[in-house]
Amino acid sequence: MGIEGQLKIALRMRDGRVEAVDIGSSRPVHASRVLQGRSVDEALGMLPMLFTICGTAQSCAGVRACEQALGWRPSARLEGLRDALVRLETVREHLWRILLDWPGFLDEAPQPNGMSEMLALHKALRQALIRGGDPFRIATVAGAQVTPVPAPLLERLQLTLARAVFGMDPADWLDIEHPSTLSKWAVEGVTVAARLIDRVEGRGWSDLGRCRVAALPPLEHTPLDSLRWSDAFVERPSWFDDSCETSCLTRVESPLLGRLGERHGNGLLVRLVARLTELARLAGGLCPGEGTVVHGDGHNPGIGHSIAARGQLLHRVKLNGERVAAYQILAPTEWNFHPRGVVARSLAGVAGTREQMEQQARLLINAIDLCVSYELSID
Amino acid sequence: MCLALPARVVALDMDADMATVALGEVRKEISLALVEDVAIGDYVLIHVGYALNKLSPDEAERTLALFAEAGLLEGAAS
Repeated sequence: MGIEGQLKIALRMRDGRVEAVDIGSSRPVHASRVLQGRSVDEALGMLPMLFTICGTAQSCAGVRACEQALGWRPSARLEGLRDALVRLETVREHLWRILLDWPGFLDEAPQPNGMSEMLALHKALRQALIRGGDPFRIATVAGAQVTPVPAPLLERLQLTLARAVFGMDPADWLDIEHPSTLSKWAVEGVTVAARLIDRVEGRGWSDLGRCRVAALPPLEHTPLDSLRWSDAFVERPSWFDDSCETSCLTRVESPLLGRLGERHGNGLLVRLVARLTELARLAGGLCPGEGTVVHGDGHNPGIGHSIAARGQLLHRVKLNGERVAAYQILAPTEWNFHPRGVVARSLAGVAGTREQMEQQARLLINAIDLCVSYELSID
Repeated sequence: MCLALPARVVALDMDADMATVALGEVRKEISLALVEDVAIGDYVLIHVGYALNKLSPDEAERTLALFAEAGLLEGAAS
């Protein structure tokens, strides 16, 4: 059952090292064509049906693209609400990695109870945030109301994260500024996150996957209509002929990450800590603030941007009147799993026995974050 | 492009908290650890081996129709 598509990642080894990496994709990157011919309202209603996992980020980029094409200008308050909902979705996605995927790297069972609790909290917080109407529909723009998030829900989220991920208040965890303090936290092994950090440090894998790759610059203020929006570009994007990375790591900064980056570059340890850092920070910042209004200048085709859990997401819509004439989506996975992108470059540094290589490769792929299943082969 | 597809539950293993779901001719084992009160005949949204939530038959039909129109269900039979 692979309609979500699959990536095939093949490593060719020689003398205990990866000699070549081949990444092939069957992801349905042109599925958004089904929106062609629809009204704007129909298309925006279909986006979360098609793309459930990152549906909020997709809806956000979609409505922004349509607003730009129509010349609508959302309020800063509405944009702030949209950004808050996307951040909430990112919290859920980070927890999926940590509670359901990370235990497998420690030969521990996944933690579905913690994830179920998060899913229920996500639903309650989302409902609280959108009480004033669906902020991802054009018709809502004029009358959107932003209501405060109930404090008990935010407290429950902090408690869930403290118990399941950080072993302490997430805000206190953010106070860790030195790698030695992080190691002490990790060695105590209170949570699966701590145990994985300890395992990575203990096995000398902190630098694993370290490579040179440029971060995709923030695109929300960049004139993107000059890009060649061909099918080939959406399948294998590049930025000035470079295959860039867009991920949690490329958007999060902290004193701890700065120090770890000096030692380990963009190695595995830094990637794991970046996810934890963003999770702790986002959980404390779910109340909508004033967003930045970028679009609304009536440029058709319109381009919308959002920061999905896995990286920057772009939608491009060309309208004919109020109907969709063309719809394209450029997702972060296409940047990161580009045949010459960050995953390919990271995997090129993997070494060891076949079993070690497989374990290291799966850790790296998970750390860079893939939203679909993949097949890994080592020959 | 994180697609999640609705599939119908055709068998349950309550001890293992697992279910068999069907989409067209394809069957797959998935975990029910993230959802409650799932019965045979229910539609669930599935993603990387887990049922995410239940869908009403109407919601499932509308979503599957959209996937079919997008040409995505052809892959489900392969």
